[in-house]
Order: sequence, then C-alpha cells, then structure tokens
Amino acid sequence: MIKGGAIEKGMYILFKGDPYLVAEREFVNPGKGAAFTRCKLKNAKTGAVLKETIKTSDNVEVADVYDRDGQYLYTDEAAHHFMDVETYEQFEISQDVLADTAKYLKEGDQYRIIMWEADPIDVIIPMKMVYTVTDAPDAVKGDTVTGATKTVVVETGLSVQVPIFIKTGDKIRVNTESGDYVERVND
Amino acid sequence: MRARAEIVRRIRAFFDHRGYLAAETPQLTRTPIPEAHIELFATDLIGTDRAAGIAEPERLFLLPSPEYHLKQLLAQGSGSLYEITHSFRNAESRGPHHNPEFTMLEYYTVEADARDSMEITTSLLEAVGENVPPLELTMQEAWERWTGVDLEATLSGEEGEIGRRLAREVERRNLSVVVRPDEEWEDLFQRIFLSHVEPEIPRDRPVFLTQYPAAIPTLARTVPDTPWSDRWELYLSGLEVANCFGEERDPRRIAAFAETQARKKDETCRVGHPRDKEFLQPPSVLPRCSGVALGVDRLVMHLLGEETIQRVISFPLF
Repeated sequence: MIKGGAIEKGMYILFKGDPYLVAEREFVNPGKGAAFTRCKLKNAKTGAVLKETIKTSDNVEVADVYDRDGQYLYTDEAAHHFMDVETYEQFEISQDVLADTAKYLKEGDQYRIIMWEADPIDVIIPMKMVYTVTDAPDAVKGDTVTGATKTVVVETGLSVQVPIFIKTGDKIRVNTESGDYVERVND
Repeated sequence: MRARAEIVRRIRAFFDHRGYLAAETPQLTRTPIPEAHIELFATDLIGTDRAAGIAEPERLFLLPSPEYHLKQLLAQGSGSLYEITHSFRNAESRGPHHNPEFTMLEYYTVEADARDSMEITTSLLEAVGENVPPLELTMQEAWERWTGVDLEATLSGEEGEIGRRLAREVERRNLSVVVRPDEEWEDLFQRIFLSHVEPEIPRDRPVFLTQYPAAIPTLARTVPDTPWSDRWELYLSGLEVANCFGEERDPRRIAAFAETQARKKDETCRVGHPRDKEFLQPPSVLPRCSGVALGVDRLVMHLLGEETIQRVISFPLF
C-alpha cells in the first residue's frame, strides 16, 4: 500500500482488481480544500485508458509486477508472440496492450517484459533503437533547403521523418518515445 | 525577472490608482485561521530571560495567506485594501505549479460581492496585459457540458444524501471515477471535478468558474435561496490562479466554520496550532465585502507563456 500522493508515472497500481500503468500523473493542490493526484491510468490487460483522481491521503494498492526476458518472434492478427530463450517457452501479448509500442519491436531482439500474476502485461522498449531503412524515396532534385526532410520506412514497418541524405540500407537511430529520427549510424 | 517586476508594478499601480489601501501584514503569527487541508510551517521564537537564561521557546507559524490579518483590518474599518506578500504552505505536492513559498496578491473591496470582484479582476487582467476577454461559466453549466450531471438537482434535497446521489450519477453516466465506500461526498465531488471537468476548461482565454456548491464549507456567503455560494475561481491557461468569495460576515457561521475545520485538522495535518477564538467576532465584525486571493507566480507564468513556476521565481526551492 502507498498513499495517493506517492503515485509515480510508470508505476503499476491495482485498481478494480486489474493492474493499471500510471501513464500520466499530476498533483493538484487547490487553493481551498484537499490535495489530489490526477492520473491517466492504462489498463495493462485491455489497454483501456481511464481518468481517475485520487486523494493524496488515500491508500492505493501497488500491483505486484515482475520482469522476465523475452525474444520477440512475430505478430499475427491475434497477438504479438515472444519466447523465453532459456526455457523456449512461448507466450503472447494481445494487440490492444501494445498498441503504441508494437511498431518498435524488432524480430529476434530480446526485451524486458513486465509480468503480473502469470500474464505478460507490457514490453519495455529501450529509449533509443537502431533500425535499417528498407524504403527511402530519392531526394527531390533541387530540394536543397536546410532542414528538409522526407519519410522513410524501416524494417519493422515504422515510418520515420529523416533528413533527405538518408538512403535505403542506411542504419538510423530513432527515439522510441517520440518516434523522431536521432542520427545516422555508421557500422 | 524584468517582465515579472513590470507585472507587479502594474498590479500595485492598478490598486493604488483605485484608492485601495496598500496593507502590510505580518508573515509570523501565534494563531492562524484553521484550514483543514493547509499544513503550516512552524518555527520557534526564542525569548531571553535575564535571570533564567533562555526561556521556553514559543511556537509561531508562517502564514499560508494574508487573509487572517487583512480581514481583521477590514473589521477595524480600513476600507478596501490589497497586499502582495509571500505566503507559505507546507507538505504540498512538488511539481511545476507549486513552490512552498509563493507570492500572493489579495484584494478586498468593501460594499461588493463576488460579481463586483469579477469586474475588478477583469480590469486588472487588462491592466497587466491580458488581451483576451474572459469567459464566464457556472459550475452547473460546466458539469452539464462535460459530465452530463445536473449538479443543481444532485445538490438539492437532503444534504446527507448528496454522496449517494453523486455516486448514482457516476454509475449512470459511466464516469471513470471509482466511488470509495467510506469517502465524504466533497471528496467524490472534487475527484469527479478534477478528472472530468477541470481538464476541459478552455485554455485559450481566462475563465471565471462561478457558483460553487454552498454545501462545501468555506468562508464564502451563500447566495440566498440557492444551493450556491457567492464564489468563483479564475483559470488562466487551464490553471487555477485565483479564488474569490463574497465574504461570510455572520460571526456565528465564521466561528462554526473555524470549529469544524479545527476538528478536521487534527486528523489531516501534522502541525497543530492554537486558535484565535475572537477572530471576526463582535465587536470586530466584517463589513460587506468581497475578497480575491490570486497567485502572482501563476499569473506571471500565464502572461509570459512559461510552463513551470520555477521559471518565474528567482530562487525556487525545487
């Protein structure tokens, strides 16, 4: 148990029996009256987002989550499939849960998976990841404006805005929180 | 800092020009007004005694607002007055909108109610460079628009039933707030408000949110024959910046408010304090007046387009 005033972004709390990720958190101390923590909570099992406000002095139950490593295999209509590389056990995470992050997953890479009870509920994507450009349009001739960009596609299907000098086959670093291009990577 | 100084200069000029007394009240006191949810800073006054050496220190408190002294001056016949002063609140959550020491502007206008204060505040906003005209929104309209709840109907009738009626509305409207079985209705009211109403308040212009439920205990007077108190709050860029009351004057109601707040405070706050039982009691009765408490740091943030209070305070604590 923690107090409502100790809720942090990124924490998992138990709410109505389900684990919820604290996606956004803001403290509100009105000029008159009690203090509250205003949150956006994401249901880790269904992906549904809730707006909830909790009094800072009220009790909140922390969800007892733990980590395991999992190798990303593939995605089909139903789910994203992972494998534990030590036990070869395969498990899946539903499409709803990874709605925003799935496009950053690279086949064969290992990720830290957040577990609750026996179920995987989230995948931690590193802040910055390197991808190979699979489809880059040629720079438009005469387009020499400083800071001009174009859209390329990388091996996971993710589209990224990049400077015009990036070519198919280049490796680029991408910020996985914003989806922004960071830099070209030389092998 | 230069821009901030200019804003503060304009505020002073605004009130000086209108004949408000520039009051100066203390920041240390023996007996602050009890407010159940404000944790105070306490300090020790060390007295010296020639014979016994250092005497037992006396506990003093840093004031959370100048309200306590400004109201006493009004009761003594000061007429309309204002003050810009530092105020102190302990145990507030850290973040981009709070500093434990902040700058408060309070102004009281005699022979006025909250409606008059709204007009004065609108002129003040113009004087400090706000060029978008404000929007006025009642709590009733705001709740209807963003939650579908008919607030007036929910608040009317048996007061003990308000919580149950609110809980029913949460279920009926499918609002994502979990009703706690043991909570007071005011907390549920605030949680719905903060989750579903406050975030929707327009950010592109100043908003006066008016008519708060009279059932929430404050030192605002009740508008006769309505469930509303004579009160508004001002939102700038979606952030609460000022609170206004048409002030309660009835000495018995003021004493009763202080009594219940003091009792509640024993449970909610760590720092206890003695109470001034004579506060606004006869013969020191408050004249008909309306007061506004406005967070100067937040006003400056809004006017300068800054996102954090730390950007507009010279030496923030966090």
